[in-house]
Amino acid sequence: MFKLEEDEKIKHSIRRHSFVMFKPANVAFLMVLAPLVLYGLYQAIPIPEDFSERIAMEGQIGFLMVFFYSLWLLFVLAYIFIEWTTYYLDVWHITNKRIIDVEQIGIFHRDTKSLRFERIQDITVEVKGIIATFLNFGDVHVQTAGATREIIIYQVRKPYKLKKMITVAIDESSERFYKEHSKRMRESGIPNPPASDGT
Amino acid sequence: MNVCINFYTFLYYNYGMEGIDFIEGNGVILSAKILWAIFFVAVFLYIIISSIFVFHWNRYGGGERKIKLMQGIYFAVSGFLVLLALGSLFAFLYS
Repeated sequence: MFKLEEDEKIKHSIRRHSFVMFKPANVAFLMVLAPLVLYGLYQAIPIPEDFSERIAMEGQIGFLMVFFYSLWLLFVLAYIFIEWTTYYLDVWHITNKRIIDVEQIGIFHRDTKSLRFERIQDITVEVKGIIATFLNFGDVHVQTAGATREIIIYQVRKPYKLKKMITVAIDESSERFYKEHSKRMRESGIPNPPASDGT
Repeated sequence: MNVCINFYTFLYYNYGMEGIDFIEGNGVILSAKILWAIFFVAVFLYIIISSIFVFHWNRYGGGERKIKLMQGIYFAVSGFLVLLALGSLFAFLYS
């Protein structure tokens, strides 16, 4: 969990593109289908009549199959929701002061880090591959002056728009900082230094 | 009640070979107790995973509408599946 600072507000919350759920959805679909296919194959194998009768006598096999299939579907459901929870709780918040990266790597692995706007030096966008290009999603790299810290906003929808949003947020933050700084200087009786262009 | 399903005999029958009755020997025997044990283990695991989900959704989800909706879907579908498993087990064993 993270705590917002005083007078800090979340302006945007960003998640990965829902396309990232495509692979788990396919896996789940195959998992749902696999027992049905196996059952179909089993039905296709001719069974001697006396043996069929014997099965009928031993118990209603259909109910047993429904029992195991229900438990299997319960397992598949848990898998789907683990994937969805990991996807949904993996989020980036852009506040009026910083970017907060809440990374949900697995169901038991959570990592939170933040990057203040004044430390950001460069923002780059990376759109890789034909699907990412057509669906308009990609990675946004937010780099700081130091070589060690970098936040990567993975597989986000409309990465260029996000880059612009962050840039605007940084500009607003600097403007606000400058105004507050000027106000403090005025209050303490120190004149503002001239701007760099001499005005 | 013991219900015996012998998959080895099954295979031998299907391949046109002479049926060998393994029921008394090393065949796969699914007794009612084993079926109930399978059911309760599955329900136990289901309760654990559901608790983990609820913990994550409530702690990190921030009470969002979508989280609540997905929580509802999860419990509706999983509840139905548990009831279906229970019903089919009863039907298999006692009908």
